[in-house]
Amino acid sequence: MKTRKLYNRVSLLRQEIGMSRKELAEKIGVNFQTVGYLEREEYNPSLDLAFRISEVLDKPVNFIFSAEPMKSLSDIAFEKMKNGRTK
Amino acid sequence: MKNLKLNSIHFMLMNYLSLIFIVITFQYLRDMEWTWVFASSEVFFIVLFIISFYFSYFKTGTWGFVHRSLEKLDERELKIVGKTSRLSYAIFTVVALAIMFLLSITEWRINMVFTSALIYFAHILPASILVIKNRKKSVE
Repeated sequence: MKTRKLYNRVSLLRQEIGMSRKELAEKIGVNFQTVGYLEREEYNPSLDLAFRISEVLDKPVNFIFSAEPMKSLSDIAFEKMKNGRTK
Repeated sequence: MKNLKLNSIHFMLMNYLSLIFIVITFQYLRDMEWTWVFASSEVFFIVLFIISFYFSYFKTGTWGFVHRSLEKLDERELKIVGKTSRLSYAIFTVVALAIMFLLSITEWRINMVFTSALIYFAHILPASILVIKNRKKSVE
């Protein structure tokens, strides 16, 4: 079965909380290189790993992972700001 | 970095070539009279084989990677090991069948060195596949 590409915000959320790849890797129980592959979206994690990442980054799984390209957080904030102005 | 990756492939080829020459030289040594030239060339190929093994598999970490216990591998690494083992099994089957075919149509005789080389080949094949695949990506 050919798997589809999954998009994620792992790198962004990890950097936001000031965590290194190695620290994240230790907490989720993988090799630090696997974190690199995940962040470059070259590897799709298992459901178990996705939940472990979600627990460490303290964000829901559907906020971290998506089957469609993700909007940047600045775009989301800008849209919210724009919608706030129009209301 | 690129040069280092190219070197690991060169050392891998050197390792296979030295293995082939070890087998051929041993065959000559067995069939013909022991001469210093053949004996020293056999020693030379064994040394070359050990050195190339160190630089192609041991230093690059591929040997350790494919021989690490499954409990110590994460899910991505398990996938890689599974894929390389599967591919190496297919390659080894084809090579072994080709050798058996050649042996059946020629008068070559199998010796212990040849058998050992074949076992080594089966054992090292997953690491060789990783060396080839990781020309661009690093393993360790």
